[in-house]
Amino acid sequence: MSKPKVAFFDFACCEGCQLCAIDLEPEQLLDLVSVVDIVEFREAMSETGDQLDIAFVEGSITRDSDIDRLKKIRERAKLVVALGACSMIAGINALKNFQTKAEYTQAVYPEDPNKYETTTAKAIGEIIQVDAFIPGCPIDTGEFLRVTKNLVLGKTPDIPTYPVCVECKRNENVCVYEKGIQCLGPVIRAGCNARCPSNGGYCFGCRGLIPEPNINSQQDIMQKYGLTYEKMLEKFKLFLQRNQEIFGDDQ
Amino acid sequence: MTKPEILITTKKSILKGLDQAHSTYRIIALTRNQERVIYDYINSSDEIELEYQPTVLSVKKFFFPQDEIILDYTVEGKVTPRIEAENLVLFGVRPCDLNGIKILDEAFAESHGDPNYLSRREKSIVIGIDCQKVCDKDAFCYKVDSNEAKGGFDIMLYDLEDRYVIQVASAKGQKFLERYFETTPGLPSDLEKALAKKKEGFKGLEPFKNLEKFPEIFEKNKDHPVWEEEGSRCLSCGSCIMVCPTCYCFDVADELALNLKKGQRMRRWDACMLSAFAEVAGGENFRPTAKERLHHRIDRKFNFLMAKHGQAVCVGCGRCVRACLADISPKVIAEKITGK
Repeated sequence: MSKPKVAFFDFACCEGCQLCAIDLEPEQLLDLVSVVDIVEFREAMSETGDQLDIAFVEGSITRDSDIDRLKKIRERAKLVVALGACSMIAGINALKNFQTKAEYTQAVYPEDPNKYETTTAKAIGEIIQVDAFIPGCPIDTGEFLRVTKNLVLGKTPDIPTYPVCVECKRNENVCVYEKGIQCLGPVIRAGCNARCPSNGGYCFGCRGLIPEPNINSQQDIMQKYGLTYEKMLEKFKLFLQRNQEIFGDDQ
Repeated sequence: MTKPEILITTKKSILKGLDQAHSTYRIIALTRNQERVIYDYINSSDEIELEYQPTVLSVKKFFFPQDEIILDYTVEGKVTPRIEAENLVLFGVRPCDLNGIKILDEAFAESHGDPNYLSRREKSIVIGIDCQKVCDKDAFCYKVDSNEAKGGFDIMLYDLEDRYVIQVASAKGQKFLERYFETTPGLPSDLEKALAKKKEGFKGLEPFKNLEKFPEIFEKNKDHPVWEEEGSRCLSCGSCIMVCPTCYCFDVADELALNLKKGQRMRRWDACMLSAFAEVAGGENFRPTAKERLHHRIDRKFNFLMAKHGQAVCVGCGRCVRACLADISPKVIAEKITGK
């Protein structure tokens, strides 16, 4: 049996998630290439493939011309996997969606605002069907390997549907709310081992919302702990712009 | 439990004994760890916090850890069970957690028994310290008749200023005591003195009036408005379960190595408050709403498991109350359903 053909593609992103995907111990790399055949990976090799079993796509869609390229990847691949927050939920690229195009192009390129093609930042799932996702900004290397392995075995990737609170409690962290810091952990997908709250920070929401978040209760809690409605929305802005329940439909 | 003999020891002797036991046992006690006070492994009795402060997790984690590998396997079919138990002394466990251990002991001994849990319990010495007052505003041990330990300990210490009154509850406790603690015979009046202080500390703090009838009452209140009132705020974050000393549900998953040649079977804490807990193949979910999940969880504490264990399966430690950002409390739910 030939090994599944795997490729990596990127759109608007820092390419950090692809870097995480190959940030492997030598033994892990050998194990990975023993189960998949990497045929296209701009960050790591120059060859290109044709038909693909798995396409990992990093980055948000921020130009109309991206759409065609993304659709062609979809046509070539049996499975498309959104790699990281930019691809899965549009990530921090979507911060510009809070401004008008005139505002952000003027701010970034004051000399020549129309020099580059740009439009509303979107997650790839808003354009094409996505079969699996690996959340996070950046992704977790271990999770990337687990998802890849599951896809190779024909299994549904086992990504947590529970929130970050579970991991904070398992790590016996003092809740950051008790330190007077508002955190998005109660509605954000776990799987990062509560990395930020466990290391002096709080959850920014990079892994996206859990499947059934109680947004009303989360908002009540943040306001109970001292945030005004506007300040609370600021916290949601960084990673959750594409969520219509919080920010409405911007189309 | 045999008729307890009353012994006295100094606090100093206890701490010295623990230091001596350190060569044979790993010692666990309440200790400061960065900004937190938690139950953790210590190297010296100097690290022990004798004054109780509520911890995020109970001592359950030492017998039933958050994650554990229960077997290793190869794809050729070689299966090797893993039971990792070591000699442990848990020092300074309070009545709420001792009652929690008692309930877990009963649960994990059922049917064929859980070898991983039971072998860890077998190799452990649990030394309790009785509470003489309620530890904070969220604890409600006294409401559920859990401010006294009904079991779960090998040795129990009752505070008498610079001394402890000792009660021994097991043969392994007796052996440990003889080996490591210097004691002198005590009088029933010593114990009475310690208990009088406790009585004073818990003055006016009474159990729920109809506690024994809780299973019956909760059974009749399946449609009580409290389930919707409290459940609508629930985030389904699972925090209440993670911190609970009597929750024992777990998930088991096989983790095949990336080379697809060998793997490990893991078990990790699961939680009936999480939306995926009652989801089965095909996507059907038997408890799809937070309201149903909350009802189920509280019923386990005060209804069907309470009937099974003969005591409230909520021990009133208050951990879930402290952990719940939405301010959902078993005490408040019980009050709304059964009266104060």
